[in-house]
Amino acid sequence: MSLLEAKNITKIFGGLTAVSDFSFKLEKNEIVGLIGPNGAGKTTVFNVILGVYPLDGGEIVFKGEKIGGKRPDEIVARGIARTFQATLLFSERTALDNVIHGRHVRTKAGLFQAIAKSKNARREVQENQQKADEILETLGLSPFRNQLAKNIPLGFQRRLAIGVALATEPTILLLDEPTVGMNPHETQDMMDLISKLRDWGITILLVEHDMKVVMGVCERILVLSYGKKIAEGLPEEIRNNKEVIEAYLGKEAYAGN
Amino acid sequence: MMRWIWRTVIAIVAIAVPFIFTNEYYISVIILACIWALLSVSLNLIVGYTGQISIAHGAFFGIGAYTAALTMLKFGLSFWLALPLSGLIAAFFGLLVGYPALRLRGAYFAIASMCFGLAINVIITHWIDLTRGTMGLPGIPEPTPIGPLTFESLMAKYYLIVIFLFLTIFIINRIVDSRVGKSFIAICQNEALAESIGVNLMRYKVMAFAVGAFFAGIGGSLYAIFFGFISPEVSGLDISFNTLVFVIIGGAGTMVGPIFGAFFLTVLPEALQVLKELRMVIFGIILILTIIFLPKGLFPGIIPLWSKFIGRFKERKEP
Repeated sequence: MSLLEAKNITKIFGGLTAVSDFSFKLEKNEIVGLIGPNGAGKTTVFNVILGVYPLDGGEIVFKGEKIGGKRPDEIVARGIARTFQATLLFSERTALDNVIHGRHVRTKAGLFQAIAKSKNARREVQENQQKADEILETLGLSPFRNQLAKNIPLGFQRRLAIGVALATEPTILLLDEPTVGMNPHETQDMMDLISKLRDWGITILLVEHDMKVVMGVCERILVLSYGKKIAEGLPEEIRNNKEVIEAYLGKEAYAGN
Repeated sequence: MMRWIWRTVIAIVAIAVPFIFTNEYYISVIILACIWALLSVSLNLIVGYTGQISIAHGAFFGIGAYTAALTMLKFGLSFWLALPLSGLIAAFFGLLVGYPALRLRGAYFAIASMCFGLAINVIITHWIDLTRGTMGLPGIPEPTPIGPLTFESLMAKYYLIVIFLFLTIFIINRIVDSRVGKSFIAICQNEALAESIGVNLMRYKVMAFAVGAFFAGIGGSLYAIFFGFISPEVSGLDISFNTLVFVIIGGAGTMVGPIFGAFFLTVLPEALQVLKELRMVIFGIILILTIIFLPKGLFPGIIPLWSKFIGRFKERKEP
């Protein structure tokens, strides 16, 4: 059984079909690329998986359980996390606090426990701090621990955003263009990090425009165009796929090749 | 350590106030400031920490005041039961209104909350059988004595209200420091990101709104026994806007700011009374200058000035 299986998922905004009849599977411990021209519906797929947008058709099965129609908090609690294209952080909070925020679904203390400062609540606070420090350490963010997120260099902000997602203890991590705007050196670091995440047992669905990154780290690639899947396969297959080249460069580009 | 020094100083000042200001008028102004501070601290949870601009706080205050007054006058309920009841009823209305209204964002939510505030005010004004309308409810009894403690004197009422102010600050502070408070702050800072880490936006927004409403209700019932008379004005938009001004001018999203704002902006117009007509003009100018030069509020604006001042002082000492 696949870790995650999307069956014919469809998302319609008004008259526009953003994603139509899209099916794919994620196996445990894979790095899968999701590519396509701008506006192909890649980010919409993320929002649909996470439950931010309700499905208009199809079903998503995660670890054998149907998760279509569930709320984002329920889905995150089951082990799916995401990052955003424009690095989103709690910018007025410290790096440590950002990661601690990410622990939300892994802790339970409610309103009355908070007011009573119960034993359980205090234990959670301690645990959160410890876990957050571990995450900062592994991502090489310890030097920025007490700095406001907005004051950290961009490359490290991107890592911090991944740290926030990791704090939710995901089984599947959806990465939305993690290398956009990065120099080659930073890009290489990010590729190393992505491989490392997989070594830690996390399955990754990667949206990315930089083909070097996609071809470099992904084991399998899905291609979307106008909300439809036009190809799926190994990086070499995708590189030479006629339809993919057409989608990116237009029909004549392929003909002229 | 520093924290405990501050706490001790504040406790001593709070205890000493009735001995320093023996004039009844001064004490009344200070009591009123305490009630507005309680209201501001609770609104700050919604506006400052969760980022939802609410113009309904006066309505919850009014609901609390009328709940306390009516249950005490009509059913002879003891104040000690009427007080929590007024908080719970206000919180109940908070849930009822919060669920639909908090689906709206930003200015739309602010407008919806204002409409709710207006509606409550109209209901209280026109449901004459229950509330006596604009004639108001006079003769609200004093809190029943606890053993030898009576609450007839102004001084006793001052201590009663100060204790509730401290309790409110204590509880709100605990909430802000907790996992629940962190969810509020996450929502305030970035809703999309908060949602992506699994914060149930609706649940926590409504929770902040209802907890804020609870304490506004408590504030209302304290106001009712302090004056012994209430009229529909206690649920008016004036109170909603004033409280919002206290929070924003004082410093939204800080613990001390709204308290500071409530005290400063309540005492200032009274202190300016010698200036007669110019009073409100100067008050207005101070508000405008604050917004322009200290957009984060008076309190967060003062801290850097203060540390600069301390810094200079230190430099002079160590040549």
